[in-house]
Amino acid sequence: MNLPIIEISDLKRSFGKKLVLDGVTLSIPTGGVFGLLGGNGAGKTTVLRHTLGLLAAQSGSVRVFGLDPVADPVGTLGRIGYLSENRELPDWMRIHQLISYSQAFYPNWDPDYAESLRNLFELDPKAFVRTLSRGQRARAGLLVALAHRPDLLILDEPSSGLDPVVRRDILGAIIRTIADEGRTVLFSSHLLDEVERVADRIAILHQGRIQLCAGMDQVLSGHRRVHLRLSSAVSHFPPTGIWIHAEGSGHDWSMVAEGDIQNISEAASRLQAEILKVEPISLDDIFVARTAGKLLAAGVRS
Amino acid sequence: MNPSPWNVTRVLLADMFRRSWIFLVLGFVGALSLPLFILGALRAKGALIVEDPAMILIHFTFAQITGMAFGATVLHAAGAPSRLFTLPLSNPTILFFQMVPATLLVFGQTMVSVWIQNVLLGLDWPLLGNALAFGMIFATFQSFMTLFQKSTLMVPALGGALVLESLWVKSRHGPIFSLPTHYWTTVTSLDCVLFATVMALCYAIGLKGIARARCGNEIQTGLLVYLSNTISDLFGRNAMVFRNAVQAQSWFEWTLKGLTFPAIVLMVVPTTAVLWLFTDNTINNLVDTIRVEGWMMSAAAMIGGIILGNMGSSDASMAMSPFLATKPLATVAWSRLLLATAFRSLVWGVLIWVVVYLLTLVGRELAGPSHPPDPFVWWHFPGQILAAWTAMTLGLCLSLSGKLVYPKILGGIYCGWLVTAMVVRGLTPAWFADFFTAFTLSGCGIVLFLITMWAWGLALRRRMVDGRQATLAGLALLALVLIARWQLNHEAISPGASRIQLFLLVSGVLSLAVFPFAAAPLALASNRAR
Repeated sequence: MNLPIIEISDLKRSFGKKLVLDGVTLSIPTGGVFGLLGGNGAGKTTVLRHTLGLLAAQSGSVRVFGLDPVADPVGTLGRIGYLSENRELPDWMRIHQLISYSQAFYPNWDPDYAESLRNLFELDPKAFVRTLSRGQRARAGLLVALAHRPDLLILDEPSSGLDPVVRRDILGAIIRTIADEGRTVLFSSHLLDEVERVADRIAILHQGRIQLCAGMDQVLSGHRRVHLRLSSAVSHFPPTGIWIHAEGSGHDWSMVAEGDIQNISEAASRLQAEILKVEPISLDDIFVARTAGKLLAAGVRS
Repeated sequence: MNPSPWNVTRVLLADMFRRSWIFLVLGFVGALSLPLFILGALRAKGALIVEDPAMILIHFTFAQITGMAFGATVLHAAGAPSRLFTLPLSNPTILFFQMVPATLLVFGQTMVSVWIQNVLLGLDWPLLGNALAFGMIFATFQSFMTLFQKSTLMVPALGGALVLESLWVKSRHGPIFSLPTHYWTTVTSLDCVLFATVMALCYAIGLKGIARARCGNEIQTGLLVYLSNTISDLFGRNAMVFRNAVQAQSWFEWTLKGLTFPAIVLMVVPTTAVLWLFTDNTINNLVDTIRVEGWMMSAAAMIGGIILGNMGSSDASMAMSPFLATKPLATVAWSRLLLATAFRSLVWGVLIWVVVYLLTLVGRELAGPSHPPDPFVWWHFPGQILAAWTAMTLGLCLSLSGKLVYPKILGGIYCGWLVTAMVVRGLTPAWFADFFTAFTLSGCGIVLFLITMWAWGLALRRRMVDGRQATLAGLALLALVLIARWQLNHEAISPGASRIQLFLLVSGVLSLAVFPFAAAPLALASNRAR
């Protein structure tokens, strides 16, 4: 396994009385595409802002390229390309000014690549940023983030505002190209089909805690949907053991289980349940099971 | 809830006070503080003579200053009407909320301010006339802002309207082209009709503005945008190449914010010339006014510094935007280039002022020997530049921190001190009031000095400055303090004042001249990594 490009250890962060990150520990290896998943307010952007040195760790530590991003912004940010969630760009600049300005910060800036990206994204060099649509702003932001060929590309909700063609064909291709060159992409998203398509590894963040962190194949192969028939009817089925999510009532239940077939058989026997069917499961279902499982179980109870 | 204008106004007004009560309080006390300070000092020296005709001009001038200062606060508190556009409110309801309470606030503030001055200082200034006038001027300002918010036509349109209204207000204080000759004691029925007409016009203009803005049909002057783009193309800005990050960021800061202070100075100068036309028109008066403006540059410099230090993505948020914060540029280098930009901005502003001052001096020479020059005071010019530098960099550091809590604390301390000083002055014997003022002012000097030392100590500990820079700053401060000490020994001071207390205050203020070299990197670092 590659050495970690980002190491986050027991990171805690509060804004006022609200605890946003509650002991996040995460190790992101060099190379590949890492997807950070989470619902609204899960703390994804807060994690990304810590890795960029925009937030100082209140407790725990953050290392990027082995450096503290707050103490050494030049050493870390010079090797990072970043696209923010809100697409903040200076409205008063023209596209060519934005490119010239950004170029000055990065010794590895590739003018030819920048120009090819500008053509690919169909950005008029004389256009003012303030006249761009949200999607065009996202493209301009991507151009600036990519043109210096960063070792680490951090994308905060990159698909937001992009049309399906750009999102699927262009962004996806760029991300894969970077990963194939041995560089690293860290992106946050709640578009799970997109994550499933491009990510090599994922972490699911829920209520400030890492619920799951593993390779994409491992995640998909390690979870299954199991249809059970219980010997005696129950009114509710709290998540426990390998069963991380349950839907149903009475004798018949549809469960999301974590483990291999043997584990599932043993757990079903302990419940005195008959396994009706075992199916592969999508990332979407795993995410819902991991983050909304308790809510759904509570819904069944009610 | 019944969505009548009254109900909506009540709810939105409550929201405005909840969000901005601190600014409204600070704006009210701050606006009132200048006349109270100056008139209080005059009264302490026995120079406040109610019957003096000069008091009419003082009243007229202070009314404008307090009205403008509080009006700006109310505009900020009322916020942009666009935030109400998606609510199920009619255009008249939105305008009603935006205009009527804010206008009433300005009207009330002008009346209450004058009343407080009358009570505390034994004056007998009229309350109603100027209050009506400033309410009307405020409404004019608001309505034109609404209609021309995205247009460069705003300047000539608003300027023209304000000049007409100012002429009317001036005419109520005597002939238009002379010094004010009397107070505006009687509000005639003609005044009331004119006032009502202007308010109705403002309402109509504001309504038109909201109707256009709500559907994205604002008045925009494309010609100026086209000209600006053409000129920038002609000067080869397409081929812009920066040697390094510092040069690129310096360009960013200067282009976006650096011209604020020179622009304010440039705007103030013709305004002064126009105002001068309405006074006694003597060249000596103009020379004196421009010279005094050298000190007033500090206020403009502080505004320029606050804008220069704003690293947020908008005027409303001073928290550093991720676009800037993620630029690989060292915090210390960034803070230095900001200080360099502040210096450049200051040089341009001062140059404009110097050129205008020299022109007035030439004008006085050309006017002949009947206007002898005033005695030359050597330290005024460097003092004015130093004051402007201090104000600009203090403003820069405050906004660079990205935290509104610092200006709030400073404003709170200032207002608290002012109110206490007024109470002490009114309720205690004169010797105690003098002692209180001297004690607090010298204490303020010591606190400022200690804050500067603390900032340097912290910056040294965090290696944001080195020993050589600290030594240079210390030597510069020592030189300034020694010069001030020497000068104070040669200055005549008022009987109640003590040289040592003045020296402490001046030393503390002078320490602020070197404060930003340590405070700017600290402020930027705290804004960048929160």
